[in-house]
Amino acid sequence: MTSHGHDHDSDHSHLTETEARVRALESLLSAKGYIDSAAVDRIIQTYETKIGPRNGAHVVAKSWVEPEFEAWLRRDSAAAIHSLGYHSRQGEHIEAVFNSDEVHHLVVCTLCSCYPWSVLGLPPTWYKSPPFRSRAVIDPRGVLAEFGVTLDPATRVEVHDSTAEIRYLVIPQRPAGTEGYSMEQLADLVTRNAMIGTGLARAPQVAS
Amino acid sequence: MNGGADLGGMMGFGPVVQEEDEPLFHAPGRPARLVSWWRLGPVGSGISMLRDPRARICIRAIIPARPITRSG
Repeated sequence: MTSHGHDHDSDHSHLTETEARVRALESLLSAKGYIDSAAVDRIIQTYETKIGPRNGAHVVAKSWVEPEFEAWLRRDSAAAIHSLGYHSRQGEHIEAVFNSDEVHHLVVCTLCSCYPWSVLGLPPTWYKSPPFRSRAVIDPRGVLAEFGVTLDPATRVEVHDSTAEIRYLVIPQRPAGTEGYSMEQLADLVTRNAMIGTGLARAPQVAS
Repeated sequence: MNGGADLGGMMGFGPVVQEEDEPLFHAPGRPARLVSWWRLGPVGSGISMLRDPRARICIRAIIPARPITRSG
């Protein structure tokens, strides 16, 4: 009996349904000349080495130390982020949302896994999972508690549901005790989860 | 919205589980899936233009539901 409730007497494939679909799709794209192995390798390598949460941490740290950049980020997030060389492949809009004592921002894609790839890289599995997607909107404080984040009851939570057209980057609050830190030191305090809203920037004494 | 793809409002999936040291790609097929999605971006945009503009469209929610392999 399969996981979806009926027998496949003649199905001896070791591939899951998704894996088989991926292979079929890749074969078709290759046959039609839409992808080639060299391009595939380059794109994968790019995501392995160049695009990831460090990009977003750079944006956050720069906004912490440069008021003019912060103002630009608030006024026109996409332009400010693009100025650092972080461009989206699909041209979707990106908006930075700023945490404060009054409001905490949390990002989700209830439809699937829309994510600000250009600044955070590939989404973690939990971001794509039904438990997160189903409860981020209806029970954000409960979800945050599972990530070890407990907010002041007076802090309002705003949940942003991403789409194919718009993605969000959370700008966490700058930790206390970081006066005089360089941009690089500050960026080390900015975790991926802090930029999704399921975490806070790390306190300086636990920075690696 | 409690549609087939939109999970907003649906409950009962349990707690959020985080992986320790999550790998960038979980399976050999994942890079191919990434690239397929990447290259199909313009196709997805075309699909979204055909839909109700008020609807929130997520490209990867559409592609698995309409296997492109059938059209070739």
